[in-house]
Amino acid sequence: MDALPDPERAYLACYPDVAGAVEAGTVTSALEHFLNYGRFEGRVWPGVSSVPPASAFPSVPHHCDATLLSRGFLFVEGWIDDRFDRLAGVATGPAGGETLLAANPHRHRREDVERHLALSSPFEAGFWQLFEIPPEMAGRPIALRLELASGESISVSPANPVRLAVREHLESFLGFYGRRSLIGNRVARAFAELEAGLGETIARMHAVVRATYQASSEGHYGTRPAKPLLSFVCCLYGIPDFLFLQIARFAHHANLERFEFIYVNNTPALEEVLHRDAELAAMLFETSVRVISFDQNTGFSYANNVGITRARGRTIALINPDVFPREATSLDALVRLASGKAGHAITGGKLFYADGTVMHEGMTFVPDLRLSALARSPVWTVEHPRKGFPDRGERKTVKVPAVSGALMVLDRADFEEIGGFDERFLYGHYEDADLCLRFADKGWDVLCDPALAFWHYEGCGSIRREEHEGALPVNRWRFSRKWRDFLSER
Amino acid sequence: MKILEISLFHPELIRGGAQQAAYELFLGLLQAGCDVALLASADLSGPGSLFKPGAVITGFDGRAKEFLFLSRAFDPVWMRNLDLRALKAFAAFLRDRAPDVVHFHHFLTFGLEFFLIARRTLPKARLFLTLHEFLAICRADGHMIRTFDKTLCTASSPVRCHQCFPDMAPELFRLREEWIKQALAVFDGFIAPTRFVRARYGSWGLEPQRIHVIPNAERDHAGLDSWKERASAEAGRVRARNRFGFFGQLLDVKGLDIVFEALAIFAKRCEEALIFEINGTNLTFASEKFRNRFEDFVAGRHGMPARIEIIDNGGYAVTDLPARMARIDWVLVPSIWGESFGLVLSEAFMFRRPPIASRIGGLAERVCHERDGLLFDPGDASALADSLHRAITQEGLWERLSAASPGAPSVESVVEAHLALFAGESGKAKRQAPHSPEISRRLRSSSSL
Repeated sequence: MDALPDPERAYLACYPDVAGAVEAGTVTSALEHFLNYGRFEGRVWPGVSSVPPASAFPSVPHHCDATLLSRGFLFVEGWIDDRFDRLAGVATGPAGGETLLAANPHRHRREDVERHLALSSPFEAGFWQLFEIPPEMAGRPIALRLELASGESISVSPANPVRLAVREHLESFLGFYGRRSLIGNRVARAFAELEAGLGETIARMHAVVRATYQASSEGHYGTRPAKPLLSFVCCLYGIPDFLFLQIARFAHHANLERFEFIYVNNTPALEEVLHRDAELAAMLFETSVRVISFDQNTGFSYANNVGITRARGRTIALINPDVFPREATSLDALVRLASGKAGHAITGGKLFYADGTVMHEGMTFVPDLRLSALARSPVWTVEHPRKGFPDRGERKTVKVPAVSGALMVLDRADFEEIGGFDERFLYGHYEDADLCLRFADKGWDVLCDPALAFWHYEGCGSIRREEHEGALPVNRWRFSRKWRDFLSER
Repeated sequence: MKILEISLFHPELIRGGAQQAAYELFLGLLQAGCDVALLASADLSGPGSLFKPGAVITGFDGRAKEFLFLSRAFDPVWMRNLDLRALKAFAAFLRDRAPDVVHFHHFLTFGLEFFLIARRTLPKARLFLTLHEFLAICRADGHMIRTFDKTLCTASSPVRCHQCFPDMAPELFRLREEWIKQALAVFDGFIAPTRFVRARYGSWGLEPQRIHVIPNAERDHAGLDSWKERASAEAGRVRARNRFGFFGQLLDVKGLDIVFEALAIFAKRCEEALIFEINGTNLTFASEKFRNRFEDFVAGRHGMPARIEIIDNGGYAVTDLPARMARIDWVLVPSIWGESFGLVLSEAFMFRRPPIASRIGGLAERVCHERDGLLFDPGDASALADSLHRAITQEGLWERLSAASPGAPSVESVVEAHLALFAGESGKAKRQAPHSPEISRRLRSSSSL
């Protein structure tokens, strides 16, 4: 200890526990302890004149961990220990060129960083930003700068950029967005971020992706009725089993020769299996089955919109793959709807869980006061009243605010007139409620007909991936923003 | 009446109770002069050389009435056949043969679509299905043994089945049941080899009045000269009845583990010598744990004294039965699942080798405790050890039980019962079948379902 500089020796003399830690090798020196722990614990560096010089403090620790680049978009993610000098902005531009983009950084928790810094309480050390980059940055090395509140600017070495197609980039970003860890309420934070511009950036990214959708195959099996009474349109994602089983269960209750089934596949890997099962089902159950397979996940809205363009029936039944008729009379009710003149209306069914309790008998819109307060913006929740309750056995068709997209019966002409599902919703969520509100806005009816009794094995019909979790708050924000005035007035 | 019998596997390719019963019935129907053909499945677990390129149905070994269905695309999750060509070939085969009766013995390897195809192709034919096990009810190989704790299951439900297969949602088990019942709806009737099977399928939802109890047939191999000569040589010879035999598939559910434990208990508790002979095959389908234990056991790595002698005779054909049965006194049937029938009991009874069997399912129904055999609670190795000791030491027990042996249901009576059912004379079937003393006694001693 004698060989140590005076302040270090004095620090260790003052704090024997630290001296013990140095001796045990837990920390390498008094200075390291003070810089990393002691100063946050209220310990004092001995003597005013001997406070460690500024050069002894490390520069603000930081690192850029990920740089993802696609045509028109840049995502950076990293961390910074900015407890003593707040990170105020992230700027980027071509290396060696002027700064073209700057933004307030988004923050998130990085527990690995908290461990690294030995922090005793949560801290949002992570930062990230999604930029729309101008064409002049394309193909050039990227410079990244962190702007601190003190005015200091730190040039950061960007992580080796990973180049992605925009679709991969969007999926990757939404995956990150869905799994990021935060201090505070996720919905409120997401609404603030989306409102501040992220929402529109994602929308433009999504628009680029939508322009790339391509059908990779389309096949028809069975004898197509000249004029089907009813066209079922179903979007498949991730699980192939239900094409065959759904048609099988329909065939158990009715002759299917007046119907046509149109399946739109959003999982390229399932393409062959679905064509195989379509051919089997068409032969075995003597019906018309069409499969349209896409090269990527186009989402619920787009897939159904495409499916309906192929439908030849006047009446369309949009159906989820995990929805099955509960009894023969369920199909009778469908046929009645298709045969009659229902006027302008969307009719939903009464959907049941496998245990016989109610899964859906219409949906309502409820303002979430707590989230609205936290988000400082109206947040609406789509509720399924009496979900999970025993069936009360109502028989009368009733008007409801909305019905689930798991089963919707409507006229193709109405659907086309209103412009189909809003394809700006990502993957699948809220587009059914949105469609119902657009019907309502036009003065058309939204109905629930208990005679349309179907099983809905909710959650079994498709798979969920990380990007879907990230898309959820985006869709909720879009829905709440789009309908806040309309819903507030009702 | 033209009949088509459709069997899971051909017993000459893969041994098993269901295929043996189907084949015995087929031979019995032939013997009775019926116009009958057999379509037995083969899959790629058997000899691949039987699979002719591009063929779906072929002949079998030059036998005019026997055919093989070459199963290439069976989906065991939804019990589907994924091969459109197979379905079309089956429909064409049905049109060619135009049977009046199609009698399925299983849907495994075929797919439930075969039932739908049969009904659609032959709308006027009468369709029957023999319920050889519980695969329709239970995804766990139809054994109704819970996968996570190996306890016996008595009823399926979406949540219970999901507990056994957590990767499959409860809802999908409901869908599985609906799909299977949809396919079973095409049948004019079902055949259950025991009342136990009938009751279980009845509680599952099949209409009990459509389930007819007809036992499985098996030729009386004790009528062979090779057995008669042995039997007479044995007559009057007095010796300890300490030779026990196991006959059947070497699978976990057959309960050989229980015998191993019982022998270890016996070796500690008792001083007598005994011989245990194992006759069986299909060890490759058993769990690794069981395979290892079995191999240790037959290799002598069991720590028991030399007076406990273990002999592994390997697999056997039914024609080997006289020789194999001559080597033992008792037949052990320690199954831990509810056997639907227990063909081995027929074999034990026909050779008058009293069974010592688990008190479970079709075994408990067919063995009359203390009259023609002994029962012990399934999985109870200690009780089995006691039964072994009693079997060896209790004077006159073997002779009494052996003398009361009811024999096996005769092929003739089983064929007659099937024909009556096929002809739509179910009442007649009930009156006339079956004639075996065993079944007649059971019918007298129990109330109808």
